[in-house]
Amino acid sequence: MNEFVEQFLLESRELVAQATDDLMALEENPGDRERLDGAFRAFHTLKGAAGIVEFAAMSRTLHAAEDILAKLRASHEPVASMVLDECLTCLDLTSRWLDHMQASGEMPPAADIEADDMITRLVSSMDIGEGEKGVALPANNDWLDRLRGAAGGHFPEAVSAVRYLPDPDAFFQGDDPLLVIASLPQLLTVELALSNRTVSLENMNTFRCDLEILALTKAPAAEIRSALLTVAEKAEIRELTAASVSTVAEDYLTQATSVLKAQVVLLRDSGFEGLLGRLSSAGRTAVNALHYLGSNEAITKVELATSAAQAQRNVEPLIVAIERALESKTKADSQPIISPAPIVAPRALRIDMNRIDALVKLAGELIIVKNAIGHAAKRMQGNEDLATVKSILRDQHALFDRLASELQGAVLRIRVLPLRTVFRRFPRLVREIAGSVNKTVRLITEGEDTEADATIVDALFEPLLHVLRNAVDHGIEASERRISIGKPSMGTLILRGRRVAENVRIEIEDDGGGIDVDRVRAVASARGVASEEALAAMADGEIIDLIFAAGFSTAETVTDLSGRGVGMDSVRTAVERLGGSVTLQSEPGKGTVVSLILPFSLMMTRVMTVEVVGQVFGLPLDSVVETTIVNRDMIVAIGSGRAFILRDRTIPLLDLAETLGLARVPQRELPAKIVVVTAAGQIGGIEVDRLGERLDVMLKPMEGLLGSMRGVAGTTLLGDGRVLVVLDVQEMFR
Amino acid sequence: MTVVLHDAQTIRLIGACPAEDGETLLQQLLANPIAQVDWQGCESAHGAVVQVLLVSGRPLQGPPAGEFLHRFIGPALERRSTQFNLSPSR
Amino acid sequence: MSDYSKKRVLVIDDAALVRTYYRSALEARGFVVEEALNGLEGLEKVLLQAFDLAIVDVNMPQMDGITFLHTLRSKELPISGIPVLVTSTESGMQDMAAARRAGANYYLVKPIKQETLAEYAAIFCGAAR
Repeated sequence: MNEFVEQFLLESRELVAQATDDLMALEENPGDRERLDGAFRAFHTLKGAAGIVEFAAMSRTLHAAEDILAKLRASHEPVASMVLDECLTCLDLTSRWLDHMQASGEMPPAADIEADDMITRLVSSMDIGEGEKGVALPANNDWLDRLRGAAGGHFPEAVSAVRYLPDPDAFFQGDDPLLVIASLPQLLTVELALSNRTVSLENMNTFRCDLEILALTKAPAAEIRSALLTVAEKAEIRELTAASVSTVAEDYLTQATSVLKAQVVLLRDSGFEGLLGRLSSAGRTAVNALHYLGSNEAITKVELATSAAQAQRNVEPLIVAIERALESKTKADSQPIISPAPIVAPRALRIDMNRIDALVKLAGELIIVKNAIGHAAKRMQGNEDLATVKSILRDQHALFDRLASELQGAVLRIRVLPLRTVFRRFPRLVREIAGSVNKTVRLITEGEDTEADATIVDALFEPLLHVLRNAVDHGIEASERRISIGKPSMGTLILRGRRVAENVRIEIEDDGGGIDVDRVRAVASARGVASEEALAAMADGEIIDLIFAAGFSTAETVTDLSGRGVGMDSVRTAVERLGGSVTLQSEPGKGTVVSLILPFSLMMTRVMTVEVVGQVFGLPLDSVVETTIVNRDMIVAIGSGRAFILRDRTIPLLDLAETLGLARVPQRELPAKIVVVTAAGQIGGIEVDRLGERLDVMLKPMEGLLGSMRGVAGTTLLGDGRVLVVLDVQEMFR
Repeated sequence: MTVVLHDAQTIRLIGACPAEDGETLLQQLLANPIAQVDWQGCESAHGAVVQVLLVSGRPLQGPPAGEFLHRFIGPALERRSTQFNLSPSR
Repeated sequence: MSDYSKKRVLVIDDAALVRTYYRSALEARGFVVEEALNGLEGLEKVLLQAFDLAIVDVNMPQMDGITFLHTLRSKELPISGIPVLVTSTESGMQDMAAARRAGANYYLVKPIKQETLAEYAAIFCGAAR
């Protein structure tokens, strides 16, 4: 695992979604070259991504799929559905691996076995797809696996792998390919195969070379490349893992030399086109490589040769100069090697400056708290009045507590996510949902790049899925019906995201039948959602809004999709919990648009719930100091109010029920349950009936009538849909 | 001559076997379909010879004298011949 | 000691992860990194700014690495002479040969380790060890 895993997961999911899209489009239209290219590219990039996080099983599985797609691209024939299915299965497997990595932070343990299985399936799907076309050459890319199989795990120290396919005329020309292999440095194992499987003793020509030679070595790829320079065109070299640290220094010297050699090869291979560019780039590269190697005396010569070569439009002077430099380099190679300073790979994360500023500000405030605590400690040493010091400490602790949670929040908010992270899961799901109710529906997503708080994006999946389900299930008409009213048989769903000021707006639009207001009215009446009179007085818009009322479902038949006893009310609850709202517009016969409006960022508040006369209220946790139970005899009347004694200190006490003007049955026998709070620098007590739990909630400011209510900080929705009023403690003690 | 027919059961490879020995070995193998190959005296073998051994899948009596053959080619041929024997189609 | 901080590297790859991966490796060594998403964007960048090295992927949408290289080399000096390191997941001979024919100064097979890439950039930019 390395530091790119997070981005890897994000990007891979995108690529999986993209590849899925393309494959599904291919399924519909097997001749669509563009989609085939798209799928190929997505697999290709996915494979590359797997390489970066060193997920070998994923890498080779995708390689197998990519090979298949490459063949399909070359074949100009429509793509067989069998092959597509296996490619889709491959993507499913990849998704599962990604899920596992995301959940556990580890590579899936069974990935290697699953990969083997998947590769077999992919390869055989192609065989069937291609029909009887004789024995194919071993696929170009399975050689590494064959080599690993041959090595049987005996050579974990292997650094490079080689595949060498000698020229068929090699024997005839007097070459011995095995000698080439025998000359490889630090050879570990050799595997032999026939490049032409139809060869037998009876039909073989002993002067024709049909060997495929594979080898594992401990030498770095650059060194192998140099050793195979004469047969470079026939050899494939792979670096397996990074060379072990001890060989790095030597390795890079070899690599620099190898870069120099490559310039000679490049120049030799040069036609006239772009000659000057080649000369210049080869000259620059050679000079820099020599700089790197510290061969300073050769630099001037190569520089001069470069300009001479350019003037003459002739590669020779430069080739000669580089070759000379290479020769003198080899002679001088007995000097000790100074190893380079260790490379520290940084974690790179691009963060909005504002977020950093917020963190800086919080850090500043934390330092102030630290100083205040230090100051209190000093006062304690100076035998100052303990109560004062205690009070300072308590206040500072409360402040510290708030800052710590703000800091936590700020750190969490550093991560915003594009809506894509949730949108990309839907095309496949919508297809499945539509299939299960015998409808054809396509999902178009727009504005996937719109960003929102990661918490919001993560929490959107379920409500969106629910709305989409509803749209497929109830919105989009059956195909026959659509055709009969002149609509295309395939329904269209659009999932659209965009930023509107401080909000993120997500719309789910369908081209279905819209909402039948009369039916909603009838159902609402039948289910007692509202009274007949109330319903009669409602405008169409208000009627439609009843869909979000608890327990409402307009489906005439309960399908296994939406008929789970949760309707659109669960969507509204979920969205409101995130501090957002849901609206719905509908046009009969044309379709419905459900809009989710969500805040861009979450303002989470920690609250403690308390109960009084059967009602639950929230107190912001950052003002709560402690909770305590006090005997009645410790409560005294002071003027018009009351107070209680806590650790020798007299603290004003409010009765919550009384303060809120709620009716109250006096129960003066039991000890009082008191929440001790800080308000405006003072300590106060609030008597309640019961102490509840601590919650993280999204606080919504009070609107309308309640907005002017004194002592209320805001409201939030509880998990069960109830509204929790969060009290403003500062205001209560004013 | 470095490819010698010892008896109908054994073909011996001796010393350094050049490319031409490939053809000789092939003829011997064809003429003696059940013969094994004894390469204990073989110090080196050209790729052409090794290719014939590979195609034949015949059991080898070793180890060969040459280091490269012993360490690398022998094990590779052995893996191949096992696979060939397991596969009835070959 | 050469000054790394003035060496400018253009990374052309369609995969964001790859670009980030290279960028973090290169920036750790003090290189200045610019990114382009495909050959076409790469050409635009190369026309506007000077680079000491371009690291180019082969397989990209819109304009692949080979076409980029071909177009670059056929331009007027000095931009045509930018050293180019071609990277590809294809270890096959065809890609390597195609890259060389198009004028690549070196060819690396993906995946490439961060330290390997950074060291090659150092070689290409003449940074003394």
